[in-house]
Amino acid sequence: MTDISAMLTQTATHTLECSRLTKHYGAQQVLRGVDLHVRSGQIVALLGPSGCGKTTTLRLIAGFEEPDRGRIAIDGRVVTDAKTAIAVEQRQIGMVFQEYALFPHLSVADNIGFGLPGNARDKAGRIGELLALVGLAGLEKRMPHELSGGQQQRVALARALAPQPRVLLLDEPFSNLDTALRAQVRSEVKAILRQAGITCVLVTHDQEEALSLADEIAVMFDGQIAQMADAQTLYHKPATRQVAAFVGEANFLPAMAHGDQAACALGTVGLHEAATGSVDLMIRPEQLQLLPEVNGVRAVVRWQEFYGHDQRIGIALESGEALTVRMDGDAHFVVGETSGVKLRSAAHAFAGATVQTT
Amino acid sequence: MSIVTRSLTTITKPVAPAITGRGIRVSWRIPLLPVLIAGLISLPILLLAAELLTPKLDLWAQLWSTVLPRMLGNTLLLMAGVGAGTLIIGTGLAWLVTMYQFPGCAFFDRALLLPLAMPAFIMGFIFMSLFDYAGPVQTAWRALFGRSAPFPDIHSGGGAIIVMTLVLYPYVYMLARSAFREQAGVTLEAARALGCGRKRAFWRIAIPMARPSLAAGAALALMEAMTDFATVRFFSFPTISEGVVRLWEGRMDRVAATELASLLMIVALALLVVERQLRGRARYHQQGGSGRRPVRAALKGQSKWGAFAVCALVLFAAFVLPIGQLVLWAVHEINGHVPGTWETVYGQYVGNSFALAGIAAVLTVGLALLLAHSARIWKSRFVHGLTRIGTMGYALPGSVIAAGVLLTIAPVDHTLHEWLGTGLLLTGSVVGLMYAYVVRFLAVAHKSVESSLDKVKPSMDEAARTLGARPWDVLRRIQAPLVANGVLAALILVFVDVMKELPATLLLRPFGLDTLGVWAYMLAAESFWQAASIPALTIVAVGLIPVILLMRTGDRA
Repeated sequence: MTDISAMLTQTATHTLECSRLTKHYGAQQVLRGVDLHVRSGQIVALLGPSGCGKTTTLRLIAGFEEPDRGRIAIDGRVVTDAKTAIAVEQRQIGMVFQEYALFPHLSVADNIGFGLPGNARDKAGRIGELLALVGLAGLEKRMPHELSGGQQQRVALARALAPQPRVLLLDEPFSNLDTALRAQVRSEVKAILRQAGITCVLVTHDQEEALSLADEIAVMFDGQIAQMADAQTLYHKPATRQVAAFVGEANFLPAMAHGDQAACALGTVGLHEAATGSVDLMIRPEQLQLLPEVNGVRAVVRWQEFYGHDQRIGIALESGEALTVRMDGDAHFVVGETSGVKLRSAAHAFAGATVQTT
Repeated sequence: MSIVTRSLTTITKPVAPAITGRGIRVSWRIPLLPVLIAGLISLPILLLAAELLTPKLDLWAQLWSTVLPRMLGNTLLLMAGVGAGTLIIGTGLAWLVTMYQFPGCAFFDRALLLPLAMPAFIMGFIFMSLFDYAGPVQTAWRALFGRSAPFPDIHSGGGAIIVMTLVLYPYVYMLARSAFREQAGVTLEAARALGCGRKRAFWRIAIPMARPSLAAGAALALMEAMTDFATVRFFSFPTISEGVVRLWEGRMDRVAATELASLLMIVALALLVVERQLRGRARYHQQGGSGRRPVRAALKGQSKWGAFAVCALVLFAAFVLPIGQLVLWAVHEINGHVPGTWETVYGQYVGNSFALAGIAAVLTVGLALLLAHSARIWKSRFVHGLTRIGTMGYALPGSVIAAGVLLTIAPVDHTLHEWLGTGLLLTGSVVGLMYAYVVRFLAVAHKSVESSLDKVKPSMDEAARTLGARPWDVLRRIQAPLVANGVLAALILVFVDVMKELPATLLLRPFGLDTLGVWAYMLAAESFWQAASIPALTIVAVGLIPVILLMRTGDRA
């Protein structure tokens, strides 16, 4: 009873619902049944390697392309299904493009006001609000080519937000910025989106971007969503081995599970969730710790990469397995040295038979 | 902030009609428009080629036994001479102004493009008058060195080659300059770091790398040289182009003229193939450039003034001298003006020229827009190929196009007359002439229009759509303003080219419709140089507009 009522309220507040989207380009199938539900005000990231279908999904939502099959609804109104194809301009979506696509012949103010109804005086107030929101007040008379990359990006954002779209779509919005600027612009954009309280779908191949910006992340491989969850869940309890390897760094160790414990090359270790039989353990590098004194499992240090605040150390176990360890920058180990190794927290297990193929 | 709190009722707008049979609509459609345009352009060329397949052997035998060997030899000689001349002057000047600092180098960098404004036949008759036996140069020569002092005969291939080289070297200069600038910066520095001096770097690095650009520039210059018939006629150096016009205009023998034109077309198409292949390679070669120009080395002492003298001499001979002479003549003509002479027709000829050029520009740019737009929509190799066919007319001499256009429209005229008794509806009107202009200048318009369309990225269209703009709004608010400049440039270029065009205008103009160009040519052919200066100066003045625009935008070719 409670489950059903919870489900009902949830669907009612879904701003965007995509169900079973499929799409072919010629002989190539790019989407194999994508389901994506985004709640009102939520920021969802579509994360995946290039060619996984994330941009296609975004373009289907925007209405630039039509799916072979499937249904898309925005605020409960069907915009795409077998019988319906609402034109892009009637969908009330906003979009920020990878290359910003600012109109080069229009000033900042005219770019932002492009999608607003009414005459110049009607628009002026709203344009002013948005300039203030994105922190560009005073630049309204500039032309796009007179702006820095980060400023252009914020104009693109303001322009997309101006007509109060139901959903904001962002296509790799930070990939055109250089690395130094990216982190700063990202947190500014996040603040703006939060303040606007808008529902967002963001496409990115950069996991750091997805993890830091989004409430939930949908990881896509090969035209399907492999897992949709918040950043913590995705990192600590990935649904598949592929997700585990794509989001963060992961070691995999074969093991025999007995309930909430498993036997592996590191000895007997604890499990997050009970399992039985042959499994693969996923161990994040920071879950491992090297010990100066050797008792128990022995490991030889093979290589070392020092980053300052932390370091990555490659080790080989006696049984031959190679693992990566992430430790504080002040721990001191020498390549070639033998040391002890231990697992600091419980591991996540994948049933061996089903995941071995990947 | 209540950005998303728009009431749900606002989206109960009329729902767009359901789209049925998605995808099918596109797949079987033929790109009708580009097929039509490419067909229109290639028809005259194909009909001329068909003439070659059914040669009139007795006619060819007669031509061969009389004028053909000389014309063929002269044509080849002219091409060799102009090719070598433009390559040496164009490449040399481009190297000087990009690599060295000397007095006036920034000025010469741009000013050396000015001769582009001068049609070859105008330059031809000016040089003729200056260096002829009775001209001021030879007169002064004789006064200095005695009556029998030898002077090279100006009525020769040498004279024609010098004049055309001076007018046409900017084609090589322009492409060489941008090649040196775009690729030479980093590469030359690398070469010099490896111990290679500037002079050696020129021969070992710059020239080999710029070779495709240089050859493409020379090919463009040769295309212009081949279309000329008037200059070579002034210098008594008949080429095939001159032969076509002479047979057509002088002897009214259109059959022989057509045969000869088909031969000239073969030469022109060969040149076109070479140029297109090299252009493609030039683009590839220049992709590695960082956009940083090479640092100009400051010349010292003698070489400083040497470089200045070379640039100044070329600019003087190719622009200052002829313009000065034209102005001088014009002043004399106006001062010693006899009422009832040229001023009675001047306004009329200006009107004719401007009307023809204006209509041709609108027509050509309209077709170029359609062609470029359909290429964007279709994005197929087939349409790309059609575009290349539609834009090959720039390589064909005006006399060849005139012959081909006549072959195309004469049968239509004939049929119409039999059915409706319309007389010479097409051949007797400006239709034929307009057709020829479109064939010849569609490439010029297309290039300008296409590059401005490229500025409109697909994502801009999409961004406008997401902001609520309907397709028509996108065209009106985004595409049109962005393309406007390119369209304006295309209109100016075609307008000016039509003003300067001579052979096709002379051969296809309706009876009684004279233009500034035809008028200037006719007067010059009769040695009425002073009178010819008035229309000639008008043409040069109009021709300066695009050159000045080009000089201001820098090195955009």
